[in-house]
Amino acid sequence: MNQFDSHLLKGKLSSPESALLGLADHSLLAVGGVLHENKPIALERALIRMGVKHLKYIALSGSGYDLDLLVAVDQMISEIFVPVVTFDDIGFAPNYRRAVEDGQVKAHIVDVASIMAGYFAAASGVPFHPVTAVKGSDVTKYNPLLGQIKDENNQPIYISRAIEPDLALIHVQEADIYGNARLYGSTARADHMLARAAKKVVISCDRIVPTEKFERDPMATTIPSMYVDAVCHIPLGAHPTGSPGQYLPDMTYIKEYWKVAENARKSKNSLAMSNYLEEKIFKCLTHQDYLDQLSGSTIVSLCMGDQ
Amino acid sequence: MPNPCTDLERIAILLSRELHDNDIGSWGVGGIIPMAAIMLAKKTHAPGLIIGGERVYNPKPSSLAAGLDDPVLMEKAEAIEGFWELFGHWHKGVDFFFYSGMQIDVYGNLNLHLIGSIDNPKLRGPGVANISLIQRCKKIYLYSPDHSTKKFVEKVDFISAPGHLFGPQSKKDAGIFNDGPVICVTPIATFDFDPVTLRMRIKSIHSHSTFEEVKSKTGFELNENAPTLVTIDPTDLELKILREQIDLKGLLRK
Repeated sequence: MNQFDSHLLKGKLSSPESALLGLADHSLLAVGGVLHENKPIALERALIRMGVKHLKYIALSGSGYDLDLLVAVDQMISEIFVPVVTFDDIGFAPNYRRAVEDGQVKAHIVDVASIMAGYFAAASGVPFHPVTAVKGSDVTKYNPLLGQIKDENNQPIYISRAIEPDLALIHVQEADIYGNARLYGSTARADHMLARAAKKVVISCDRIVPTEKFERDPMATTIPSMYVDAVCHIPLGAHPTGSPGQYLPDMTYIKEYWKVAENARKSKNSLAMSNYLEEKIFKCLTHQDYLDQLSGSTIVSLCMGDQ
Repeated sequence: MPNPCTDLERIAILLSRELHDNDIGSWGVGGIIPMAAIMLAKKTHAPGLIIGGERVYNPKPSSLAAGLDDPVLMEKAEAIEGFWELFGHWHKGVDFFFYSGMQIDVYGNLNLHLIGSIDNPKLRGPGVANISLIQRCKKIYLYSPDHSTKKFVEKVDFISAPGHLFGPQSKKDAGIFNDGPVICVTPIATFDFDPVTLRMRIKSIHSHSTFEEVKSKTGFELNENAPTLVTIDPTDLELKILREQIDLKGLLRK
């Protein structure tokens, strides 16, 4: 059966496990969203359970909980390309800090313009994109994404090489079964670019909607189905990060995680962290198992907008 | 008798006075203070100020937002721009932008990456997303919610975002031609930059502080003989507008 037939017949609905199957160790993994919004956490939990190792993680602007969680898993992440890693007003990212300071993980020093330029280039099908407003900073000195070429006057210009992630994970609010996707939130247009740059794209969606919904307002489609390899229908799939218009970030959950991780870092005792991962991640073989750990009232207050 | 206000309220008010009507600019992640400053300026002397250059264009939020991804910013805004437009803003610059850092040095260079050396960091910090706006926007407003010798140093351990580098010549050599940092507001003083050397100097000392305090908490040299002004305290009106129309949740009072 060719791809065209399968598209017509059954769309791309998939479980996270089969969508992610075959991701090789050492792959470049790109993650959409920013900080605690639109992070594809359910897909990332599935990746953790799969036991894939030594991934390179890239994200456009900022990561917090999701990256820290992956770094907490022994040997899962070996290189990081993220401009800002933080829990914002909660504090620094504990596992990230520990792993980088101990030299277990190489956290490259990069800035948002050079990653954006790399995605631009990959999405445009060209080998590099100039990025010139990165002068005078030590970031540029160490940034492995940047190279230099000479312009017609023999002046050097920084360029970012095309960044083509092996796999992009993107959380969206609505998708149809073919992969047309609509994204709300501040990173919609960043993930729009990422979907066009990556070799493979797996999306999680809170809701499956009929294709007619996209046909009625085609300008509002963030990612057309041609860029999407698999659609995982995972309501609350961004939890504990937020999904704009659907649910708020679960800051109580994120703070609890942070405390466990920060105590483990300070005490240099990883037992509590391992127990946490066992309880919250490894024990939950399905998304339903994970949801069962959350209280109904928590879910209601996140979805109804109470803070 | 100065108004009883928190350090964060004071910094926001003092920054707001620096903003110009009809200028275009914005702030970065986690910027409750600069957001408050902009909102206050818009409600006082700069009604035509435009919030632009970041994703959210002219937001009309019901309260202060913890960060740029806070849903409160998206609930009411004139436009949301994408990363293609942002890439343009980063390279073309807007009128002003705010920055802060783990370390700020005498030339207004900012470090958010690491304490110690890159090969053997004592602390790995969060990093900074944007190193472009600081070199492309006309004016950069620096602020710091705390003032200590650890924060204000002669030379940062790592230049995340370049201020005036090592003075006028080095800035020119690097190809940076904007005004760059023009001011830095802290809980006890306001600094500006010597136009010749581009080194930070005291512009005014807040009324509850003294030169001795500022000197003892600053890690670079300050000229004892230079005349210094006393900062004009936040006024009743400024505080009233800030508290009753902008910071309804009291985020600056926590």
